[in-house]
Amino acid sequence: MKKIRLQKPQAVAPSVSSQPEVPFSSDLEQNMEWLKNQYIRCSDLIDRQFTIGGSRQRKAAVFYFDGMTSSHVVHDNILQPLLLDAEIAWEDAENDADLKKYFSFVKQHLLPAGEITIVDDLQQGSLAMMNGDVLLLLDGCPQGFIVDAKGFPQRSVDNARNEIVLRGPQEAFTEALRVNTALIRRRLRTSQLKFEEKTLGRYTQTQVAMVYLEGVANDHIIAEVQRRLDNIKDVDSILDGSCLEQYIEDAPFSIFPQLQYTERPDKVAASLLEGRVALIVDGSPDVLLLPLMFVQLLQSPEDYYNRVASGTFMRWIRYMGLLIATTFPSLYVAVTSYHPEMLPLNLLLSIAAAREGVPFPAFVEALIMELAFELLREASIRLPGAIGNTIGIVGALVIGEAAVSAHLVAPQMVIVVAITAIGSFTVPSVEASYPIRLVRFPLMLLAAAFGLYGVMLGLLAVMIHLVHLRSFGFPYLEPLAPLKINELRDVLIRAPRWQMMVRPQFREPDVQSEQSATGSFWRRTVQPLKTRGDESRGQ
Amino acid sequence: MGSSKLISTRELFYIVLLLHQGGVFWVLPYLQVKENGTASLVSLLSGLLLGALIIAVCAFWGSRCRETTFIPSLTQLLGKPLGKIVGLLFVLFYAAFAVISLYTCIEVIGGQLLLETPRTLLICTVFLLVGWLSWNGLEDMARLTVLCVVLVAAILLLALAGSVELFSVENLLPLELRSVDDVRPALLHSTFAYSGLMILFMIYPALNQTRRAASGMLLAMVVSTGIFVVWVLLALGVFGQFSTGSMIWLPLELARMIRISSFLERTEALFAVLWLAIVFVNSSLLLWSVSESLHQLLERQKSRWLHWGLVTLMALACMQIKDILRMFALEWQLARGSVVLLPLLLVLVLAGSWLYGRRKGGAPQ
Repeated sequence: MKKIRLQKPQAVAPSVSSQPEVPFSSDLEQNMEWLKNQYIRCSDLIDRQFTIGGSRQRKAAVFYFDGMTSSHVVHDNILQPLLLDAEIAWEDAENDADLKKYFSFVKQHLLPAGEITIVDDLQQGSLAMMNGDVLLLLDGCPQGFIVDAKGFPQRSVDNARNEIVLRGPQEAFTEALRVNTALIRRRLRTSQLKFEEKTLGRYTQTQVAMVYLEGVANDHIIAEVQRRLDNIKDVDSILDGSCLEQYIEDAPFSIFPQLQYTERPDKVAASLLEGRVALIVDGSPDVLLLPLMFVQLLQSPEDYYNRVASGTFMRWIRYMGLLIATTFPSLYVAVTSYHPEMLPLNLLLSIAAAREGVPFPAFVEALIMELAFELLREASIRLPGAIGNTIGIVGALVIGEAAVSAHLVAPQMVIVVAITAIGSFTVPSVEASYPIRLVRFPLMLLAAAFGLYGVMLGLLAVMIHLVHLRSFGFPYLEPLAPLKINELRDVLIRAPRWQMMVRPQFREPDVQSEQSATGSFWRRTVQPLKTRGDESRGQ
Repeated sequence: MGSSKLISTRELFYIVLLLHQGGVFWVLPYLQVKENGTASLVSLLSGLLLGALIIAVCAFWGSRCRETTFIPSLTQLLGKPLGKIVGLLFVLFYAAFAVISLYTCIEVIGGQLLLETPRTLLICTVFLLVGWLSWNGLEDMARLTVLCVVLVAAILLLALAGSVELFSVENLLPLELRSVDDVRPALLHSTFAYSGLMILFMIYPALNQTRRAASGMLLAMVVSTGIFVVWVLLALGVFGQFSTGSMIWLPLELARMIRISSFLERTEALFAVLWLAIVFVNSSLLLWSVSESLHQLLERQKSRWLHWGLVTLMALACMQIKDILRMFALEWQLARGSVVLLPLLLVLVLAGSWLYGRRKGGAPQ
């Protein structure tokens, strides 16, 4: 058999940002030629050459991409002042022959745009155009003016689709980075809220913003995130947050997520207040939160908006849902196949009677039903909304009923799979539902091979993996293992806010308390921030 | 596999608890009652002395030789030849204890739950997981102990709640001490049960703070002994002295009697697999100690080959134990040997630590 030798990856063109600088020429024609050569066969490039009004009659040109900029801004804030108003304005400075002053005058008086940046590098100007800005070139000027005129089409702020809550804010992030930063800034009105931006991706030139609260977030985490982002070099694209996640996570082959996705600005704000760091990727409606602890996957923002008892109750329902979704089919297989003595006699007889005529062992039954359910779930997601829902309901009813009638599966198995499915829906985060589904199948196989012993083996293997896993240096199972008793009040229960005064482990140690000690709760005991005793954390 | 400072005092507490519980949980109540009847509580408690001695020596050694891990420090304390020999004895002891502990678990699973499953397969699955966990290191095992302690508590509560209606105080009577010949074997078994704590010498250097470590370890040992006492009392109260002395898997027999309302009729399978998690952590700790001390003895860096070679070797040794009677025979030999050997080793470490401290100017670190 012929061996196929894998070829070394070919060297590809370096990204725009990493290409050598191309300084602006004082000759407008040269600059225009360079830009046109760069964007040859790019039909969406608009280049408009004109002459600035006034006695100087200086040549100028604007470059921008059609659809990326706001034509209103281009006309009203760039072209109109330069073509029409310049004549009036320039009269005052007619005697000044200094070119620098002339260009400064253009910037100061003739461009009523919100943000104008002067650059010396044509590459930077080119990059700005791709971000939706307008590049203004003036003859004789060895610099370019980047005028903020972004106006690309974008979705308006809408309700959250995946993280639905009954109480609390409803709005969700969009695909536009600037809209997303604004949604966060609206909630955290402090100068300590920092957005550090970086461009990634050779072809996509994606803007990525690292968000944190200075003085609250742990410096080790910030430095580590920066280090990991800096290590992303020579990649073609960052199309979504999930692409970025794969470059910076601790264990890429783990089935468990190590960064949390959210589409809710209030959740990001709360996480930043805990000292976590957020990553916003332009073009992605989800924000990444890190570090991630496993228990956070089972927490919903609604827990904190509801009353304490309701929040705690719902949280325990979710824990139960997680347990059922992971182990119920395998426990059923193990008990019915290996340990029937555990069941009460009546139930055992009922199961035996129902399974009479079913040609398969319990494991195969469970496998058939679980696979059918996964197929239905996948199909209902891919189909348009109404049809998808119909397929889900009809498919489940029809297939379940037909399978029982045909004696392919016992009715109990349909119940087991249905309860398992309901259990998996209680988990609030989408990214947590995948590992649950992935763990379920090997557990079923182990249950079929070794009974309850097999289930325990499987669960132990999962636990061994989980205790080993870290998210940006923090143990994944914290605060359960290693045990942080103070933080259990936000895990085992949802304590009142005034009782959750000890900062989570992400916090900067020298910040004393989450809120001021004054308040309406006479019972409140403000505890000082507990510094993390374990020296291994945060490394 | 390095022993950087990773373990908190709280985690040490859980480790000591599981070390004692996991190793001899299945057979110790049986051996005690068989040899010593209702007086087994006395012999059970007497083992505490050895446990306390181990902890005291460990803490003393830790205060003198904090700068190195255990095996290398033996050569500093006792000189190179003697240090290596004593180190090797420790390695062999850890290995034998681990094999016995795991074989007991496999015997329970294979002999009581999965009668038709080949033992070899069970041994392979167990050693695979134990090898994996011990390869991941002490920090991971310490974290897992936290989760396992919840299981210890749950199982104990389950047993207490389930057997309370079957318990009869009359079964505990008469309280009698048997002859010295009968008490001696019970004492041997009891002290052997505590000798698993010897691996604390390997764990101690990984503590991130030693303050209150000794008291924490002692407390864990007392709690663990208390749990054994409860088990023996429950078994005696439910089955009576005669029946208890003839049931090898006492906790399992007790679990057979437990019925959770009308929902679960027999819980021994559940009980056994829950306890499996505890044995896993216990055996992983023992295996880690064997592997770590062997690495240190051979002055090698962390080696995948050495670790997994050792796991394979121990699995093969486990396969050589054909039945529970041979396991008891091995345990008996080890118990007899350890009663002589362990105090000797402890005295050597103690004397070496004292002399080492004096040579350094007597300033504990």
